[in-house]
Amino acid sequence: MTSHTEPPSERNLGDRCGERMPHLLYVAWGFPPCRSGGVYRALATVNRFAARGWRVTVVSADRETFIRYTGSDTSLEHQVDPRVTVVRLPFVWPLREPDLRRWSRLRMERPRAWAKLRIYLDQLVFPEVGYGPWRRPLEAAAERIHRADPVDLVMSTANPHVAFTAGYRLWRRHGVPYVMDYRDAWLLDVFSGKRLHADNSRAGRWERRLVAGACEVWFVNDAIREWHARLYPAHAPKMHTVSNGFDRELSRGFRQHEAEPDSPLSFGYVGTVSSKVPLAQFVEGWRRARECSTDLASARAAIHGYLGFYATPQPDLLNLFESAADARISYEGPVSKGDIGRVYGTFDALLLLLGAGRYVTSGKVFEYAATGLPIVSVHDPDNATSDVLRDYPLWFPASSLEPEAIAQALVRAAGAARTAESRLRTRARSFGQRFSRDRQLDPRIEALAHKVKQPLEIA
Amino acid sequence: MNIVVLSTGRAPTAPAVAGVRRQFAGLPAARLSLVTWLTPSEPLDRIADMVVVLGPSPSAATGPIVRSRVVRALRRLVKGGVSRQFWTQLRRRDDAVRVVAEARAVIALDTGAARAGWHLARRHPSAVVTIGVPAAVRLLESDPAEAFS
Repeated sequence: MTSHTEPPSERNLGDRCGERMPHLLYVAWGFPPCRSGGVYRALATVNRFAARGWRVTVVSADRETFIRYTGSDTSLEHQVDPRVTVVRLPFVWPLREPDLRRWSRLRMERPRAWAKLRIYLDQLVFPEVGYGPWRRPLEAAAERIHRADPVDLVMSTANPHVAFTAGYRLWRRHGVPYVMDYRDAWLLDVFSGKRLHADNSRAGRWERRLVAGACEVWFVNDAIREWHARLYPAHAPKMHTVSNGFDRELSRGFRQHEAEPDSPLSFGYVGTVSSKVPLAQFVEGWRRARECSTDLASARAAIHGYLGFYATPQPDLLNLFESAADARISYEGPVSKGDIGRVYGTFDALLLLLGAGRYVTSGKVFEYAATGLPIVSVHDPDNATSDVLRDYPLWFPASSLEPEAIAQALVRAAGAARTAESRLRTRARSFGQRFSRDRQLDPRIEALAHKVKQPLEIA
Repeated sequence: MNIVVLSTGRAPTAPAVAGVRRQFAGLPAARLSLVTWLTPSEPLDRIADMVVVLGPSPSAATGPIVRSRVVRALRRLVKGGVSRQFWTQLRRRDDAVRVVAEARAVIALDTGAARAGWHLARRHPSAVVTIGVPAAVRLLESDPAEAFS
C-alpha cells in the first residue's frame, strides 16, 4: 500500500479554525494514471471535494495495473490535488495478462477450461468477472483507513461495482454513510436498454442491498436515474443525476479559430472508440458527403483516442481506419488530458460518434459544447446526449445512421464551419459553459457536507 | 534488436505487418521477422526482414482431397490443432529456431500462436514474450537498458 505525500502544511490537519473537516474515502478502481473515460469524473470529484475543504483519501488499483492493462496517461497524475492522499492496492487481472511468461501450463494447454475456471474463481466473493477478488483487499484497506483516521463519508464510483463494497462494509460495521456513483449501470445494458441480471441473481441481490443502505445514489443522466427509480421506488428520493461536465484543462491551450476560406476543413473526434461507436456508418456517410460537397471533398477527419477499452487496440477498428485512409480519415492515437485543449484548437468542427441507446450519455459532449465549434452528431437521435445539445446553436444531428442522413449533417456542419458568425460562435461557447464539472458537483457536495454534520439514522 | 512475430491466423498482409512495425517506431532500429503458418497473401520483402512459413504450401492446402469429418477429427487428435502443429513445426525448422534464438521479443499475434510463445518464453529467459504487440512494446520500453543492448 502506498500513498503520495501531502504538503506538510496540510498534513494532520483535518481541522480548519478548530473545526474538524470531514474525511471522504473515495473508492475508484481506475484513477490516474489510468486513462479510461470514467477517470475524469473521479479526478474531478476528488479535486472538488478537496477544494471545498474535505480531507480526501482515494483508494485505487496500483499504477502497474493501468500501465499493463488499460493504458495510462501520466499527465493526469499531475492534476490530482496535492491535498488528496492516494492509496494504491495491488490488483491482478489474469484474464488480461499478455505476458506469456506468466501463463500457467493449464492456461496454455486448455485455454477455454482455464478461462471458465478463472471466471468462476473471480466471482467467488463478489459477482463481477475480473474484479471480484478485489473485494477483500478493498474492504481491509477501508477498515485500515477508517481506524487510522475516521471516515465521515465513503463514495465509490463504478464500474467496477466491487468498489461499492468498501462503503457497504464501513456502513455495516461502523455506520459510516456511503454514496454510490454510477457512471453507467450494473443491471441495465445502457446500449440495448435490456436488463443484464435478473432480480434474484447475485448481482441483483447485491445491488438491492447496496441501494437500500446508501445515503445517495448518483447517475450520469436522467434516463438511467429514472430506470433505477422505477426499479427501487422506495429509494427514488435519494437518487440524483450528477451529469458529467468539461474539465478546466480544456481551456488550457484551446483557441477557437474561424476556418480560412481556402484551407481544407478539419473535423475531429476525441474519445475512446469502442465497437459500439458507429464508425463504419460514419465512414460511409463521410464518403457520401465528400461526393456532394466541395468543402468536404478536401476535408479531413482526425480520430483521437484509444481503440477499445484496453491498452491493446482492437484490430478490427485499426483495419477500418486503414481502409478509410483514402477518404482522408485518419487515426491519430490517444491524446493526453494535458494536451486536449491544443488538439481541439486544430479542429473546425467536431464529430460526436456514439453508440445507440437512450441511456447512453457521454462525457465528451460537455467538452465538445464548451468549445463552441459546430458539432455533428452521429448517433441514435433518442440518445440522452440529444437532450444536452438540443439548444446548442451549432448542433448538426444526423436524423438517422443512414449514410445519406450522416452526409447531410456533415455538409451542414461544414457550411457552418466556413460561415458561422462570431456572434453565433460566442453564443455556442457560452451555452457550453454551463456544463463545467464544478457546477454539476457543487450542489451535491454541499448537501453531503450537511448530511455528515447531522449523523444519519443507521438502519 | 530482433523482433519475431508468430502468426497462425489469417495469411499476413503487407498493411498488417507494416502496422506491427509501426508500433515499434519508438524503439531502436528493429529487425522484424515473421514466423507464420500461412503463406503471406503478398510479398513482404520491404516490410519484414525475414519470413518463415511453417504451414502446408498453398497447393497442398487447396488440393482436391476431401476428408470426412471422422478423418479430420482423427487427424486433429493425432497431430493436434494448428496451435500444436505450429509449435511442432517451429521446433523442427532450423531457420525458425535460428531466428527465434536471436529474438529480443517474441510476439504471438493470435491465440493459436500463444502455445509456441509460451514454450519459447521458457527456452529463452531473456526475451520478452507476449500475446499482442502493444504489450511487447510496453515491456521493452519499460526496460530500455535491455532494449538497447
